Amino acid sequence: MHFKEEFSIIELVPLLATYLILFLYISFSVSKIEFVKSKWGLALAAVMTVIASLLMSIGLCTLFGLTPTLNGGEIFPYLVVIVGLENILVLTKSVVSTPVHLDVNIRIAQGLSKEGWSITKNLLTELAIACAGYFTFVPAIQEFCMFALVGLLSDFSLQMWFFATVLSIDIRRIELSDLQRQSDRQQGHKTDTATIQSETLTNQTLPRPPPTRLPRSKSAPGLHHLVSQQPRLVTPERPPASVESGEHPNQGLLRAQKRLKFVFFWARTRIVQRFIMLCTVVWIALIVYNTGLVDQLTNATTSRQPLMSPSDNKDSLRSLQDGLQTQADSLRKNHDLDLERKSDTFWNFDGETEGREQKEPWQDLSFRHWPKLFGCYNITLAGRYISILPPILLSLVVPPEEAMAMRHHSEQQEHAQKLQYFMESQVSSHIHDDMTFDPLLAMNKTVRLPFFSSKREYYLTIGLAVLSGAFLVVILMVLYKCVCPRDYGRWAPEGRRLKVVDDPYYIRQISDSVPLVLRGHTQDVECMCSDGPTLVSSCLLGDIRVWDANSGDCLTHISRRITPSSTRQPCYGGNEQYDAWSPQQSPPDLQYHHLTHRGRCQRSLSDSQDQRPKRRKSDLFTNLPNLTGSIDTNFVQLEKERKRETLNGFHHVQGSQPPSPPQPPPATESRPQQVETKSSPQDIPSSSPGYDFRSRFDTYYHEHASLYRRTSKGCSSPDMLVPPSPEQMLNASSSSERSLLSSGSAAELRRMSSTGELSRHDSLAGLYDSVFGESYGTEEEGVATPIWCLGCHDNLVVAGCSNGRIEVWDGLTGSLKCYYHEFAEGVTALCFVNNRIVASRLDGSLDFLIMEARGVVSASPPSMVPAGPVRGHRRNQSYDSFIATSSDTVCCVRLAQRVPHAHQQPINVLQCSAGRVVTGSQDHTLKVYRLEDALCLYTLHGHTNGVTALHLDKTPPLAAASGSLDGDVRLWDMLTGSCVHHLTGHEAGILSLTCTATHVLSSGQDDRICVWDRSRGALLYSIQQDVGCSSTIGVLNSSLLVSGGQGCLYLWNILRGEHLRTVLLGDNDQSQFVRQVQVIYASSVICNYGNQLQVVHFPSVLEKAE
Amino acid sequence: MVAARVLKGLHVLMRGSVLFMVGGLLTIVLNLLQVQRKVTLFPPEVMITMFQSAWWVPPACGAGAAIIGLMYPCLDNKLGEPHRFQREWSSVMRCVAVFVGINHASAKINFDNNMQLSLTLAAMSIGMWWLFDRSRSGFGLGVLIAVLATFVTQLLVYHGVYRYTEPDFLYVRSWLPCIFFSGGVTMGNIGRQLALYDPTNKEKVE
Repeated sequence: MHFKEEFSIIELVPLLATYLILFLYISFSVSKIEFVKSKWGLALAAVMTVIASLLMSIGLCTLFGLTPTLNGGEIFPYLVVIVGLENILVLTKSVVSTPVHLDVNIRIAQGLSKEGWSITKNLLTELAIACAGYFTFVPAIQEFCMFALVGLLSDFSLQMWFFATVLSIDIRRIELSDLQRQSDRQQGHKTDTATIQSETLTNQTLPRPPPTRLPRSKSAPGLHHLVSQQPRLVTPERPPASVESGEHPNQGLLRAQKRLKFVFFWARTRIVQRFIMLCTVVWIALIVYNTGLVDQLTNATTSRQPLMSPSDNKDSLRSLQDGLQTQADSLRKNHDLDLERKSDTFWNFDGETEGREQKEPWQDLSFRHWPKLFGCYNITLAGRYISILPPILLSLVVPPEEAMAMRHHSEQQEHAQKLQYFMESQVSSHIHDDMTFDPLLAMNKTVRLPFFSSKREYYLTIGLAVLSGAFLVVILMVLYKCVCPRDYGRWAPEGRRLKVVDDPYYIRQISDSVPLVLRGHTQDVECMCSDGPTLVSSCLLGDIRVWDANSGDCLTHISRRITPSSTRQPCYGGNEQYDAWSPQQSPPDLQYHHLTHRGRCQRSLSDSQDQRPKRRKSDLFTNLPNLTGSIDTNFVQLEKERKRETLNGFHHVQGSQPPSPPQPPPATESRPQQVETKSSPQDIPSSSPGYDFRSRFDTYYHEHASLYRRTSKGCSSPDMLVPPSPEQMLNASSSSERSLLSSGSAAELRRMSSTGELSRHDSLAGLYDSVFGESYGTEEEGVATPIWCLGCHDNLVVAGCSNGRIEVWDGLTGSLKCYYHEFAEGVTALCFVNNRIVASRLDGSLDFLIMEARGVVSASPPSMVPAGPVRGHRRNQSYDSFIATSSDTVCCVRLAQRVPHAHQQPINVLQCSAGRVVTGSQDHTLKVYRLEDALCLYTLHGHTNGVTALHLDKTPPLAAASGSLDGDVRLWDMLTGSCVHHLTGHEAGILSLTCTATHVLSSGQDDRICVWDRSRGALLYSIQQDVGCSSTIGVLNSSLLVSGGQGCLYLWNILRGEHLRTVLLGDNDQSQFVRQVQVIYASSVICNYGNQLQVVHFPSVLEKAE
Repeated sequence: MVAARVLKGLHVLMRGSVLFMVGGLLTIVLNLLQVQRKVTLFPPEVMITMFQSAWWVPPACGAGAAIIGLMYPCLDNKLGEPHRFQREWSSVMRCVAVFVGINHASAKINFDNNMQLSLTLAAMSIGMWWLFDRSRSGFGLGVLIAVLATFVTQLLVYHGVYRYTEPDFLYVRSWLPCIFFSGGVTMGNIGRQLALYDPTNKEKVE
């Protein structure tokens, strides 16, 4: 007999109390969790960790042989309290307090490392206590301590493996807005200075190692604070990914996508809900199983209902007796009825122990019999066993009379009665001899079902089996639905995709390249402009060169001198040979340039030219004839001639004019003298005294004049110009031919001179001279009109000069297409868009010119067509435009509109974009004109000093940025004409200005580059540069800035303000400043460095991140 | 000034009542634990019998708990060493659970002899003090309470007011001081935690 533990409600109270205390403890602990996405999730995870660890400990202990004698449910709360949730909470707190912008795994690592030692200390302390408990040698306590030990260890490991994982998942799920809030809270009110000062560059001239101290912005991490701190208004277009990696916005996107994918995965597959459902179903099944079946099946002799009253037992006894009675009475009744009644009475024995074959008499005793008996001896039976040994039956034959005599006398009467009944029944039974009556047998003939003690059990079992089967089927279906996916294809790529994303990501690197040097100019390059693959540059000398930006070849060289013929020469591949007039250049330089530059050269021509460098200096293509042919060093011959001539009667002339041996007159110096000397013999009759120069030099001048005539008659194509001279000079071997050639020019010139003035003439040459040479007296000889601005488009080069002339050159052939010279004010800026030229002048006027091309192919004499309304003449200029014909088209430039007083003071900057022309001038204003009709749309006021820099957006939003001399940068909106932002940050005038979609960058005379945020108008940072470096900046793409320095280019990262790279441009002692920087193709930079142009390519390559 | 004192008095009263209730409940619960051991089987009327026999035990214990809980922070104030160790509700709960566990252990575990029982219990009690309250004042006060309570109990038993079901008197004497010590520490912990909420208290809330 086993007396189970007492199970009263009262007894549960302490247990409930402990569980209540445990619950309170857990809730108090969990309420300390903060800064996480879901408190409940983490709390659940924490509790699960502890419970799992305890279960693990129990399992492990049982596995290793420890038989649990303690009641698990009772000691469970104590175990939980011993193991504790403290470590988990400490872990959570330390992980959550790490900076928010870090990676999640880095945060976890930092948090763990911070608290690792304290957690381990706690663990060791608790292990020590448990070990101490183990040594009390009380078995129950030892068992408890064993559980506690294993539980502690497993909990410690589970914290790392399970809880840290859950925590990282939870942190990952934190929304961006929560992140912002957390970062604000974390950093409090710490504010960094808005400007970032970088250390100054160290200048090293010789030798030039890479700069040891790179210009570095000090608080680049401060930039993160800035960016993350300014979100009082959270801008949606600024993802926190930009905080982490500014130049990799796609990384933030990738991470956001991963997180979203994970969330969607959980939501889609509903794993949590299904798991809960599964657990519930299993729980219900267990409950049903526990209450219903087990008790019915097993022999529950000992497990009676504890609170059954003793009266029930008596009833059962009585009913048994009654059953016997009825059995005896119902002999004559139906056999089935008897049986049924027996079975009925049998079913009535509900609380009785059923299924017992033989009932021992002691089993009929009351349930309380034994506890009461033992209670008299003060022995508790709770949880104890009582073993009742079966009686040993001894047989003793006792005659019935003796047995009767030994019994109680009251029993004898009963027995006598019973005997009587028995006799009677025996008699009666003989009547019914179809059945033998044996109450015992009859009693035994009850329906005995296999394995079941009663019918009710049987039916109940069947019903439950059916129900369980149904449940099982349902569960299997549910499992199948949630575990097996509908389409396998949907899951597999997700897994693969997730894996791919985990690969190290690629970052875009800007790789460097050695700059491509374009040499050719002799003087410093003044202006440059580019149109896609071609570059046009002009130097101080007035030369224009057209380059190919990719290969570095000089395509055309236009040398704009006073003499027209010499200027129009194509460059045959080389870019250095055909310097027509370069008095400063020495022959060795020629060869040097020839060798250093790669390109197609027609060596034959160049070599031939190289043979006579001297002659080239004074070839026919100058104003004055080449008189070298008249050099005659044969003095003996000369003397003879002189004697001959004196005989003719020029003696007196000799006195006045000592016959100076005719030296090769450098045509430059003696030009006016020649004219004079020319004119004087003209006036004097031939018989007058004086040296007869005519005879000597007449031929040269005739030749020269004829050459002019030839050139004037024909078109100004270079083909017609070049062949006469070099080939003729090559082929001409005798001086006579040369003299013939030169005489032609001399005759021509004589003719020209006969008109009186060289400067004004009807012939083309005279025209050219008259036009080109009006500044004859004001200019230095040999120098063309300085070009102040350049524009190029579609192989046409437009040059605006200081004398107000606008020339249109053909970039491929190097020929002058046309020019426009109506006004004498210098052209300060020009803009060449499609076929329109917008030119601004020194006096503040704005010219809108249209270039028209007519397809006339002929060498017709030039027709001087007065084009356009002639206004404001100040000179006797009869011709406004000069129409030149080329092989293909005839183009002319005519004035479309003119705004005479656009500004009151010189216009500094002019730019054109999207049909608008914006001019900024010294009079503190900007004006916006429409390109088609020169209508002034807006006048932008706001600056307090002259506008020095301007930048127009090519793409919407169409805004303009202008900078002035007082250091202010203003952003204007082109649609409304209002000032959007007023950016201050410079202390001196602004030199150059450029914008990207998100930033405004400016460089000023205070040697700083300031970067503003365009949408907010706030200064992000400024970069301090060396003195004199800040003249020019350009942007490569939205995140790279190029600025010119002293002999080098600097590449900056706009978003971080970091210096990325320095590109050295020159490696000699000259450390010239880069004067202009222009970006083409968004990856190449052209810069203006001394008398060279340098092209630096910055291709960006995709490289794997380290 | 008067208002502050009234407020302080009110707060003290609140704290005292909370402690009283907690103490009473714990007494009942722990008594049940003990009874379970002693009585063989629970008759349904055990609650009533218990209450009838010793109805005054829970209130008395509650009162004692209130006094203890109020005395601990006072002592901290007087001595000037504020208690800084684990001032959280979760650790207070843990302390209570350990206290109940000690009682449970003393009730359920069969010890070989009384010496072992008392030693074990003493070790557990001191361990509890070390885990949850490392102040010397706490220790001293706990020891004082244990001695005092045992003395009082002895007096009561001598005078026949309270009868033990357990005839072994020494047995009772072995576990009673430990129980009272740990109980004192627990109540002190609760009292200190409650005293944190006192706005007029000198101690700063961390």
